[in-house]
Amino acid sequence: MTILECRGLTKKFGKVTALDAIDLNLEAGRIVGLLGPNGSGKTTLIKLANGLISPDAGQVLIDGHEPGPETKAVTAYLPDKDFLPDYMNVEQLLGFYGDFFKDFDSERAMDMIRSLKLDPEQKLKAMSKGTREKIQLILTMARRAKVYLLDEPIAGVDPAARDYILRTIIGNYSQDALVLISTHLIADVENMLDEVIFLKTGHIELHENAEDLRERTGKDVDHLFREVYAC
Amino acid sequence: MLRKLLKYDIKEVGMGLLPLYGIVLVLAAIVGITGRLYNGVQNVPLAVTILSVILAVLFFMLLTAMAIMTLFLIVKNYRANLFGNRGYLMNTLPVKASLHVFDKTIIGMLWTCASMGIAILSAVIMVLILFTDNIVAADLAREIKSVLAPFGGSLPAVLAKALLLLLFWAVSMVTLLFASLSIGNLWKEHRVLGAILAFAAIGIIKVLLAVGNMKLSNALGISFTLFGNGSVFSMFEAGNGFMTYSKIGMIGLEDFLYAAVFTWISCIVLRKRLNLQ
Amino acid sequence: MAWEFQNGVPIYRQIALRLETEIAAGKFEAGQQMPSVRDLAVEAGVNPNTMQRALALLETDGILFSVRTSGRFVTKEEMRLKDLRNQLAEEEIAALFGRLKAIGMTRQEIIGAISRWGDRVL
Repeated sequence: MTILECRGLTKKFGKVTALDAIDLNLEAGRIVGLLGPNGSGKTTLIKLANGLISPDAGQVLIDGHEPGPETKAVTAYLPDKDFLPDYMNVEQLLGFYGDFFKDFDSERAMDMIRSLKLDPEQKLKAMSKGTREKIQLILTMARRAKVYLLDEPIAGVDPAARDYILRTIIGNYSQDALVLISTHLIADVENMLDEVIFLKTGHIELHENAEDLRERTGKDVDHLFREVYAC
Repeated sequence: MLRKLLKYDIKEVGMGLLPLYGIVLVLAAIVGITGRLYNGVQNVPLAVTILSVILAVLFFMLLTAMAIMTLFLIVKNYRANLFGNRGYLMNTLPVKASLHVFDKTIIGMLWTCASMGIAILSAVIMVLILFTDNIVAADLAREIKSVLAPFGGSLPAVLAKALLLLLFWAVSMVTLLFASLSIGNLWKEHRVLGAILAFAAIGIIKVLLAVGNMKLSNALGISFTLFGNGSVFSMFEAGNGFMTYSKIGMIGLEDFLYAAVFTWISCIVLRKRLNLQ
Repeated sequence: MAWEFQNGVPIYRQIALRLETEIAAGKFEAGQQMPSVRDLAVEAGVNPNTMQRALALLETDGILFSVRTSGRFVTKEEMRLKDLRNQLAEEEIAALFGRLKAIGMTRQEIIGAISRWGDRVL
C-alpha cells in the first residue's frame, strides 16, 4: 500500500536543482534509508513531504494527499535541528505533543522516558545533547503516525545514544507505517533497512531492497555507497 | 486548536513580561510611598530627595523598557516560533497557516493592551498613594469631569471610544508588523533589514492611499474618506468635539481592511514561501 | 549491542545461522517459545522484516513451528535438533578441512592433528 509517492517532483534553489523530477513509491510497513552525501537533496525531499517547502514542479503525496494539515496529522517528523522549546521540561513537552497530535501515545512516551531514568521535571536546556536527542526521538516515535521522517537521527550523537536511538526505531516498527531515515552514516543503520535509496545530485541512482542488493552485489550497502559516490 | 496555540504562546510571552509588570507596579507603589512620606515635611534630607528623583527616573526608564520588551517579545514570538528553529515544529503541526497568524495576532494585541494597562495601572497606583485623603474623592471626580468635558463628558463613553480606537489601531499595527516580518523572511540574508524596509514601504503606501482618497473625494465633491480618517492618536481633536461613533466606525473599517490584507500576506508567506534555514 | 554481520552475505541468512547455532547449543530448548520478532529484531539491531524472513526460513527447515497468535516455538522433535547439530558440525568440519587443505595438509595429517589436539586439550 503506497503511502508516500513522488511524481516528477522538482525543486530548485536559484540555479541549483536540488531534486530533478523524482519518481518514488514507498509502502507502509517498511524502514527505508534515504542515503546520499550532504547536498544530494535528502533534506529537500523530506521538507517537501512535510509541507515546509513547495515544489517547483510535480508533487509529493502522503497517503494520497498533498502536504497540509491532514497529512501533518499523520506524519511524524524528526528534524536535524534543536526544534523544541528548551524552557519546557519533559512533562510539558509530553503535554504539548498530546495537545496537538491526536495520535500521540503519551503512555508509550512515558515508558521510554522512564527507562532512561529521567526526571520528568527536568528542563530541556538543562540536559546534555545526547539526552536531548533521545527525548526528541522519543517524542517523535511515540506518535502512531503513518509516516515517520527522520532526518539524520544519529548524527552528532555518541555511540551509546546511537544504539538506543536505533533500537527505539526498530522497537516502534509498525506494519501500518513507513519509516524514512535520511542519513549519511550508512554503516550504522544499514541492518535496519528494508529498502535503500541512493540520492545523487537530485536523482535517484538506486532504489532496491537491501537484502536483494547484498545478494546481487555481494557487498554491504556501506561499501556499495563508497563505490557509487567515490570522488 | 487556536485555544491550544494561544495557551502556549500566552505562557511563553508572559514568562518575560509578567516579572516586568510586577517590578513596574512595585516601583510605582514605592515612588508613591516615598513621595507621600515626605510630602509637606520640612528639611527633607538631601539623600532622600536624591533617592526619590532616582526612583522616579528609574520608574520612567522601566516603563520605556516595558514598552520595548513588549514589542521585542511579540516580534520574537512571531519570528522565532514560525521562522526560526522552532518553525520546524510549529509548521509541522496539523494546523493551518492562517490559524498561526490569528494566534500570533491575538497574542500581539493581548500583550500590547496588557502592557498599556499596566502602565496606566501603575500611574493610578502612584496617584492614589500620593493623593488619597489629601484630596477628597468628590474633588477628584470634579477634576476628572473638567478634564473630560471637551470630549463629550461622560467617562464611560470616553473610555469606550478610546478602547475601540485602541483595538482597531492594535489589530492593524500588529498585523502590519507581522506582514513586514514575513516579507523580510523572504530573503536569505538581512531578514531584519528586509522587514524594516517592508514596514516603511507599506507605511508609504498607506500615506499615498490616504492622500489619494482625500484628493478623490475633493474632486468628486463627496466627503467620503475610507483612508486617512485618523486613529487613536487623533482622538483628541479638541475643538472638533470628540469623535463620533460613525467616524470611529470608518476608522474601524479601514483598520480591518488593512488587517485583512496584512494577515493574507503573512498567510501566503507561511504557506508558500517558508524557507526555514 | 547489536549483532555483528559480515559483508555481502544477506543478513537474514546470517541471522538464521546464528539462531540455528543458538538452538543447537540449547540456548532455546525443544518446545520453548521464541521471543517475539520485534524483541529479536531489537536485540539483533536489524529490521523486523529481515528477522521475520530468517524465522520463516527456520520454520521451513522444520527447526521452528508457529502457533497462530502464540508465536514461534522450537520443534519438539529431538531428532530434528540432533540432525541440526550434525549438519552444523559438518559445515564447521568442511570449513576446517578446506582451510587446512589450503595450507597443504593431507587428509591423513588433518585427522591425525585433530585427534592429537583432542587428546591434549579436551
